[in-house]
Amino acid sequence: MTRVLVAGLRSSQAARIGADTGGDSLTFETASDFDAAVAVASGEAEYYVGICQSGAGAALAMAIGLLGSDRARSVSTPGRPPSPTEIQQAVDEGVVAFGVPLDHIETAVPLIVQAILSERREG
Amino acid sequence: MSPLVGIAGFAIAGALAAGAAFDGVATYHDGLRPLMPEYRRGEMERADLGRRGWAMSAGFVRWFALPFILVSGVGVSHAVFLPTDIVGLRSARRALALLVGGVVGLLAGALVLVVDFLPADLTNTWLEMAEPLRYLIILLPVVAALEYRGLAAAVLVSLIVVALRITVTISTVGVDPDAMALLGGTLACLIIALRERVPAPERPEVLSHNLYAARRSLIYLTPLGAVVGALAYGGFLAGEPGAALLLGADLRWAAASVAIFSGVAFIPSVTRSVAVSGSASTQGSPDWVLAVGFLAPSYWAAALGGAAALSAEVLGAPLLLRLVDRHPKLSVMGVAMRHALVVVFDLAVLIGGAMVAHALLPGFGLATVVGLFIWNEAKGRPLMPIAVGALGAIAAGIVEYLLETF
Repeated sequence: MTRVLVAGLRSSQAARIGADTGGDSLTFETASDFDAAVAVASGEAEYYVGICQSGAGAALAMAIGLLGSDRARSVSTPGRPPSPTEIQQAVDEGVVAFGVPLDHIETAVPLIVQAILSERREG
Repeated sequence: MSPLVGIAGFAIAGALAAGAAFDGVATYHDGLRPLMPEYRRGEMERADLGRRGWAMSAGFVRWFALPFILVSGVGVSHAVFLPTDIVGLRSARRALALLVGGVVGLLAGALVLVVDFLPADLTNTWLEMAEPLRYLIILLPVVAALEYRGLAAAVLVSLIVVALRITVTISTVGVDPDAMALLGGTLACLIIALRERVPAPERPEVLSHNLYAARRSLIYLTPLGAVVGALAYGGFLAGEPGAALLLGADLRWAAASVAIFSGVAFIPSVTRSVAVSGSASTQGSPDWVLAVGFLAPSYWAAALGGAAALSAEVLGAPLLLRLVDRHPKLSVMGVAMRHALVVVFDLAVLIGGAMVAHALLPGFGLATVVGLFIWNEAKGRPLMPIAVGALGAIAAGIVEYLLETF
């Protein structure tokens, strides 16, 4: 079972969307950004999804600080909807912390889930 | 302060902010701050950092700042400090960063000044977009409480907010009742979050070191605080679109109360990002420093207050981190308050934009805003939702002006 922790704005809604899309393969839980980033850094969870207005600021600050900038990436920015290809590429490159702008929760979270599932199937 | 002096203020602010970014001691964008340790160690390419910075900032400059500068005639911090972050990080030399940062600030200031030359009928009508917002700001703490702990907390905060609003309205104090109600609601949110207290956790040495290291930013941020304080007092600068609209409509207490609510909301996340990065936030926790300027009695007091406020935040960061650590619910409430800012402002500006567009171009204006909203939702929000009402009102205003002129 792959554990995904969700932090930030509307994290409960994002976790619900993730759980609906992920089925039995992924578990989604909400946490503070600090706790979530620590859990991923220590291997207690596999992925982190952080949500803020920009998808790059408060969403990822802790994750970048604790996991490093190469393992944390914004999947979209305000005014630029998420791209399935870019998200899949991020997962394949080993990114484990995803920043999502509040405006794009409904579109970005299912894409992250699909990319993780695809990577797990192939991996 | 004459408009030209205001433009000079923007130029100085831009230069200082770009200089701080060049040295890696402060950034405006929360997303760039955690990258500063790698940047300072020379492990990140300037070009790469510049590209990343622009990718995360462009939407805010285009949709969060520029339309609202046009409709309010007030500068929005994002239009100055997001570009100056990139200028600073991208520049090969400090002198170049200061120069180009100054030019960027000057251009932002000039944009604010240009609005004064637009037809007064049009700009006055655009400013009516603030009308729903001035009343809806009292919902900010209520929505935050709802998000934080559900209906019971929301009802409790509602009662406090409504009681305050009624009391101030019937009293002869003469201050904005909605602003006072928002300040009371903000205090209620703070008290709710502060009720839970845990022993101070063991703090990694590196975080304490970073908080002290961030003080290197004061050489830039103390004068920057003075400049933004004075710009806020002069009605030239606000921290985000809602406060810009309120300030443009000369609702200073409302703009200040929003800035204070926002400042409280962001303190936990900004403080933590300073602790992990060793870099300060260019304008402090957004946007309480500006609130000092909005409420100051004179330019000198605004400048002095702005400098003192921003310096105090940087110097007091270790205490703030201790507060956030000992009261973990402050971070949870901060998230709820930031959520409230987005939800309430998006809706208030949409309603305001629809009202103004309808007033400018009856029927068609309203249809433009609603049509734009539907298109944006269908396309996965290529526009930031807060921009929809403003862009609709701008389009309606331009069409109405052309029809009237020709």
